[in-house]
Amino acid sequence: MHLFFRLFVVTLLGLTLGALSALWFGGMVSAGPRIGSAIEIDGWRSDWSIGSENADPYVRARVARNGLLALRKEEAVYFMRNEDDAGARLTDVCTYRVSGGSYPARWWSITLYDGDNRLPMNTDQRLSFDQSQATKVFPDTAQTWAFQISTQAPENPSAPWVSSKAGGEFDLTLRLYQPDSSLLSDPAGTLVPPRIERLDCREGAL
Amino acid sequence: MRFFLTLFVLAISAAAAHFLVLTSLPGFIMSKAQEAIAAQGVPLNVWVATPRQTPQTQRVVRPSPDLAYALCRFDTSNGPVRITAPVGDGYGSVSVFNSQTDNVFVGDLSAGSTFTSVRIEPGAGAASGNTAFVDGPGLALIRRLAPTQAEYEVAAALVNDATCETVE
Repeated sequence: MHLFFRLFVVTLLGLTLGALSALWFGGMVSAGPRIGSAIEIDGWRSDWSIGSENADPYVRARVARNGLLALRKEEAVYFMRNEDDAGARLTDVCTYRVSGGSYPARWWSITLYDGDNRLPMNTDQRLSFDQSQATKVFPDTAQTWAFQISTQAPENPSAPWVSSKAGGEFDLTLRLYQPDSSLLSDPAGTLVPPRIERLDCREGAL
Repeated sequence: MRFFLTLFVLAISAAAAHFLVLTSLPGFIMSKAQEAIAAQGVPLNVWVATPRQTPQTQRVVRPSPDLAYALCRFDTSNGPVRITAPVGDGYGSVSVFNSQTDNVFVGDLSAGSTFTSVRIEPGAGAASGNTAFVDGPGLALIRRLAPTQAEYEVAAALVNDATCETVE
């Protein structure tokens, strides 16, 4: 009797541990892993199995939680990053300069999301920076662009920026639509991802 | 002996729960998403343009504010579904997802594309040409590049020319 009771308790414990670990590794906890990270280029992480029937159960669960209705790689690839170039967590108490060049895709965009995978709850209407803005703002040098991430608009009203107001600890998603086949076959050799430099932080915030 | 038996039971029960929970998450989340979309007044077999994506209007995780979206809920339990959507001036796509969140089909709606329609048959397997397979409920999604309000309105108007209907 004692053995059966012991096995019953151990089974309950095992079921609980198994379920909790599945929720963690499946990305259901905000502090847990996000989408896949099979591909990492300068801190930007992605996984080519997103959206595919070939995705493993972990990637599939993470995408369902953190990127539902994501497209397969032939149509779009997604890179995520939550740290600056120095490896510090991206946060709305700091100001950043994001810069980059051209990308091997038909169209690209960079969007800021809060810790709940949402657009941050602000009314600044500065949620993303995309290829059309890069071309518009930098017509002579569309191959090299930069924008600021901050909770307030830059002093220069024409300077491009993305608002991190109410973003908390946020991350950036780089979307590349209709990527070139070279990117899919050799991502590390083809993509030079955006740089994220921390400019300053509110005094006493860190 | 008792120690190894205990360890064995612990490992087996943990592995079973881990696998069951992990593999049921995508279907559970997709089912909840379907319910939430239906609760917002999106009926079966009708394309509905979503509002321009803002922090205040977002309904799914990680929406792109640069895109105009339209959604259609369908269910192949009632027979095959035929989806049509017009080609636009800029980037666009129509994609189909099954109940496990797999993106089983993508059609190009960008300028110059020859896409006209896709037929969704009940069943499973890889898409072939303009035929894809979904068992039971699924979602179709149109994305069009629309970074400005004017471009959003053009994209939203194109939804009137798209169809998502059960066919013979």
